[in-house]
Amino acid sequence: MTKCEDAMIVIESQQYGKLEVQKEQVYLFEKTIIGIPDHHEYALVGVDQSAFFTLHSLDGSICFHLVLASNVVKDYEFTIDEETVKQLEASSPEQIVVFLIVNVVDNRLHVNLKAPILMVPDKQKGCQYIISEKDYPIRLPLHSEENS
Amino acid sequence: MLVLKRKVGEAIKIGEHIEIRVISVEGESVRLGIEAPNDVQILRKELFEHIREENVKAGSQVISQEQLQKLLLQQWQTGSSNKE
Repeated sequence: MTKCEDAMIVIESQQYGKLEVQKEQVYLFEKTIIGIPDHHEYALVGVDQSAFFTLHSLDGSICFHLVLASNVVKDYEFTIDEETVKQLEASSPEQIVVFLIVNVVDNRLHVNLKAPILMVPDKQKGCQYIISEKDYPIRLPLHSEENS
Repeated sequence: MLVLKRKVGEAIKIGEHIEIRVISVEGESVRLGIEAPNDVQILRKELFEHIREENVKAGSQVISQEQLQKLLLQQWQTGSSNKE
């Protein structure tokens, strides 16, 4: 990672090559994503004409594909505990954007409903949140809206 | 691994702030009560491992936007319900 004067950050992605992001796109994950220790900063990149976002670790070694939960699942509701709200510095629920991690298995798209990625653009904070109150699937095929 | 013997109602402390108490034992099942600070995440290990594996797989996948879009289109079309 190298920083330039104009607040652009260059990520040398192992998978996707060189990538320039704005400082404003970088989110702090105080608690790391489960299984990905030591990575606290990720850049959120939207893609034109695409439903998908990418979440790149600043060192370029990790890249998640995300979708907005509201775009792909209906009746997806859960309570976020106070500790998480505090940690994300969210002042209202509307500030929290819920993304789902996309996984391609057997050439099909799946999403993780059990452990979404929560992000607060205003504060540039994010975390992976595990929903304990409901038994959502970790790997739901994205083919219809018949779920939950 | 440290192995300790505890009776029902007895507890262990892990550091200053975490306490794990044996509530009851029924056959093969042990009920545990856990007290820990709010910022300590407590999960069944199977769930933790399951999420960890899914994350590691998702985070190291190399797939193009075009491919993602293509799969998305295919899967919506073959889905049984209509997306508005």
